[in-house]
Amino acid sequence: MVHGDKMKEILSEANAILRAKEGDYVAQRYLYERYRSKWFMICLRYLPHKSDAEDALQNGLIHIFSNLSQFDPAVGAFAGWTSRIIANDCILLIRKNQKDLVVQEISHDLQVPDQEENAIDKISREEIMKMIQRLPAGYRTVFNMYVFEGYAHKEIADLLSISEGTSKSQLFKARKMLQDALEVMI
Amino acid sequence: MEDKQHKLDDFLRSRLNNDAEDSSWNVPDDYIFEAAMRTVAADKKKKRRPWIIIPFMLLAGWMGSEYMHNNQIKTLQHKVDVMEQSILNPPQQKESISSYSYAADSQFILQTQFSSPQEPNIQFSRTSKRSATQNLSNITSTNILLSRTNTAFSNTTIPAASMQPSLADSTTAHFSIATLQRNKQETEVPSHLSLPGSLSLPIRSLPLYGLMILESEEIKIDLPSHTISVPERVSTTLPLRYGILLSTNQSWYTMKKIPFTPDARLYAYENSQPGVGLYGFIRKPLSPRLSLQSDFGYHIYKNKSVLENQFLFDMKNVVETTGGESIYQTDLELMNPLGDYNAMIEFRVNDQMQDNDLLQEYSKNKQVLHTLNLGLSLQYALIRGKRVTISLGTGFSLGYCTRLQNEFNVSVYHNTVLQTDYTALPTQLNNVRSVYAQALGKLSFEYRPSDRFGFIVESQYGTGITSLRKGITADGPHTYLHAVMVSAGITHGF
Repeated sequence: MVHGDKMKEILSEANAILRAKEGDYVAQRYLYERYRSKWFMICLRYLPHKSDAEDALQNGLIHIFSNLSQFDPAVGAFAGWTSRIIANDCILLIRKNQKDLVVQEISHDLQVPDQEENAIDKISREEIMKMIQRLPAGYRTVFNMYVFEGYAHKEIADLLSISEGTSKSQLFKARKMLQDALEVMI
Repeated sequence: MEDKQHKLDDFLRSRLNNDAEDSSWNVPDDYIFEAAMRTVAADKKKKRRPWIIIPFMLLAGWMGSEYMHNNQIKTLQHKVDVMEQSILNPPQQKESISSYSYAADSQFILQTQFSSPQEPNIQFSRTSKRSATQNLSNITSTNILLSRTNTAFSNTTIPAASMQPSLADSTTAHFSIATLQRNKQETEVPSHLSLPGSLSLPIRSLPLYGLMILESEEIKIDLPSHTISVPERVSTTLPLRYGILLSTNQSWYTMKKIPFTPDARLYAYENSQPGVGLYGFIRKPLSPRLSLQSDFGYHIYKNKSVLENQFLFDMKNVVETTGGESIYQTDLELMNPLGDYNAMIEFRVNDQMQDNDLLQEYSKNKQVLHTLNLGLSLQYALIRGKRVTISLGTGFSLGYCTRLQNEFNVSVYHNTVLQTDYTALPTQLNNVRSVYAQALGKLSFEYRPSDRFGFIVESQYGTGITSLRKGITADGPHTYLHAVMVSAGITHGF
């Protein structure tokens, strides 16, 4: 059973969704502030550069609030529905700009922490995000889609116009790189 | 191994999927939300617009049909009025005139009246050739007065020289209209003669305007009957119509994936310059709304596209040069309606490359294509008015490539790093096929200020279906050329 504050939270979110569907700006703003970090982190996972992540987030917001009438709370949670939309917009942006993104240098403000200082439990969210962002674009996209969005390799292959074998290969390599990075940090 | 991988996945999900506190690095700028909401609001307004147009379209349609209906009523009313007039003012029976005479100056006058809107065809015949010869041999000119009911006399003169044949030489003569010269001595308007149908009318001298008249033998005068005959509707479209147009076009390629290169995709890059063209057409109506059109023209298409592909590094494709360098060489094949394109991809191998490494290749293709096109299409007139025609057409055209300019630029990436130290060999275009077939769809708007001349604006979409030469050899992806064209020009009817 859900009690107290959590219930209040759910009820106020449900109320906000209803009002946002009618175009209530305050309700829309409430939903945005509630989920903006979550959505932006999804974008940063796919697109290391802040400007690209902001572009994807903006596109995602447009899709969310334009199609809010299609959201049915009986079918799924708002967080999951919106996360999928944001992730799809990230993937679309990646596909559109793939040539440019492929040659982008890894951001210089991402630094791997000193290995003596951090054990795995102390690794911050930001550091983990940076590890994922350091992956090559293809590995990162496949990894995000498989691990976080739950796409199957066939679906990934269709969406990114690659083969299933390539998808599996890139996921394997992404995991290897992340494991190596974690081991270094630990 | 799998267990370790799942643990990694679970660890990362648990750390990143839960609700995060706002920090400087995971909070987007506020302007993003504002910009998104502005776009959402603008989109909602755009969606409303089409609905607003519908009542205006309905109103315009109703007004148009009312106008056409009223126009039709006016035309019919006019006809009814004329018919009523002829009924209310029937042609009067006049006394017949037994003969006519002519004077030495060889003139005779026949005055009659008719009520048909069309000019009568008057046939003179002589009952007695001998007497005609005797009586009419000296006729040098003839004036015939024709007048419509209740209207002024006509004022067209037929000079003697234009009358064919002359009365002296034949038994019949046909005149459409004539005039009577007034003589100031005459003050009285002669009685008019109404001739329903065909009537034999001997004419005596009539003291008309001081001119001598001919006393004739019987003269048969065939006049149109009093029944109002509605002239056939004159079609505003002439049998054949031709036109000449200038066009501008935008072309692009799409690709059909085939099993050999499942990772490949094709997309346009940058902004292609528009192409231009010039063509003419001849259109033959098959029915009031359907017509067959043939066109012939010269077009220039310009487009830019990138073919993106992935392939695995294969040691078998590495060759050692005499200089001791390792060079990777592989073929790129591409089939499009114009021919097989074969490009050689070549780059130096570095130590980091291993067998089965994934390589990405981007082939930029900039193309200018000159073609002669011969097309055939069926046009259906959605709206066909006296001055305006809007039609929809579909058909095919044959394209013959007269000139092809291509620039290929291939880039290869390994582990997301551009391999800059490669040598790009010139792209070879093998088996370039000159002739291809294209499917067309078109929408045209024609305005004709007169029956002969008009202005036309046409938009057209064409897609290259296939080449017409057999022997497709490329195993690579197949591409299709698409073009959208907008043209404007003039038309003329035969």
